[in-house]
Amino acid sequence: MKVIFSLDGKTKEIQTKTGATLADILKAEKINLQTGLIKLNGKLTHPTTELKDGDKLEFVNIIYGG
Amino acid sequence: MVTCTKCKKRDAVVDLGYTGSDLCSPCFIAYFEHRVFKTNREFKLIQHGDKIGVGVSGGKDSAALLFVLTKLTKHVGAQLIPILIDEGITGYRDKAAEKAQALCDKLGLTLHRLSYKKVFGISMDETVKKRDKVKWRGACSYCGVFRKHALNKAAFDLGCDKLAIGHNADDMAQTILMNFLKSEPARFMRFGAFSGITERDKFVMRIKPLMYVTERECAIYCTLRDLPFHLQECPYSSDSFRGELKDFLNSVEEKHPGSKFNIIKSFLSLKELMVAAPVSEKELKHCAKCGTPCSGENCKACLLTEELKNAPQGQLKNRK
Ligand SMILES: [Zn+2]
Repeated sequence: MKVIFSLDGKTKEIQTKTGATLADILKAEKINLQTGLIKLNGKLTHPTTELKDGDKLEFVNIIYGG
Repeated sequence: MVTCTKCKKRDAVVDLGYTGSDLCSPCFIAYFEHRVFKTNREFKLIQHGDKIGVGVSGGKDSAALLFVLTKLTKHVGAQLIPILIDEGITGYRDKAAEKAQALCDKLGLTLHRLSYKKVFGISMDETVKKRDKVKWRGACSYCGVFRKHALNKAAFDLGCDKLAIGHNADDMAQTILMNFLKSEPARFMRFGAFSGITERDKFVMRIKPLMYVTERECAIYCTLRDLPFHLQECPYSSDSFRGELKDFLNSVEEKHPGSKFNIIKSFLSLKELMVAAPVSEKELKHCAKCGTPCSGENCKACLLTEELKNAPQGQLKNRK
């Protein structure tokens, strides 16, 4: 299945296996969860949530701008 | 879907690594506010009748701080005065200031503003243009000194008893490690939930109600509470050492949840031992120019502005 992933305003399609979670995508993208927030279809979502085909993920980097 | 470990009803939206719990939105909000209230009680930060200045930047930490403090001050009976320091960084602070203003409007608070231009006669935009002609320093070296000075001045002039700043657990852990790595143990004495030189003229004591919540939790809190905040890296950001420590602490935290808090707790235990053998403060003087308490004839802010004023005119080097 395919999901749409965006980070710092850049969006791309990621091919992933059925049952993959948000955490799996972050791991594959080498992103440390501690450095930001993960949103699924615009909403803050628990990282172990399973993805569905066509889901939109966004990682919001928060490690600057105190 | 993971169910919230607290209410066991709603879907969890947050994974709090160091506690092992997964929380839904209302339970996370309650948890965050509880931690800030608890920090306040533990260190007796804000008390009945206090007039509290709050440093707001438009960023997530100070947005979370201001919002929680409106609840806390209602509860304990204290007054809040939001203060925004405008460094004069075009395209950055002006945008963030709009968010700070929107938050204050939402909370029915008056936002007080003070600019570097007004206090020091020079904005950050001008400072970075001039500094290459004097001793070269990173922009953060000026800004850190100026911001502290300006915030203190604003809080003092507004008659604040204390000044709350948005330093979170990440900032605390980074600073503690940095002091270790730079071997500056004397700085520890002035660092903690309260900081600065206490009981001095013209000095408003700084307090850190967010010291036991992480940077990430502040961002989550703002998002779940739908607070306006600005996310952008400062264009002059130059403190690469702090940045390295930030990355280091985040990777340690990911593998060993709770590490950031453990650094803070270890430090506070060490500090208790250090307090038993205090460093003398009697050599402190007041700046001959502005009256701020300092160790030399002039405070750091006056030394830096003087240095910039005397910068020769001429070609600029293009350095960040
Ligand atoms: Zn819950």
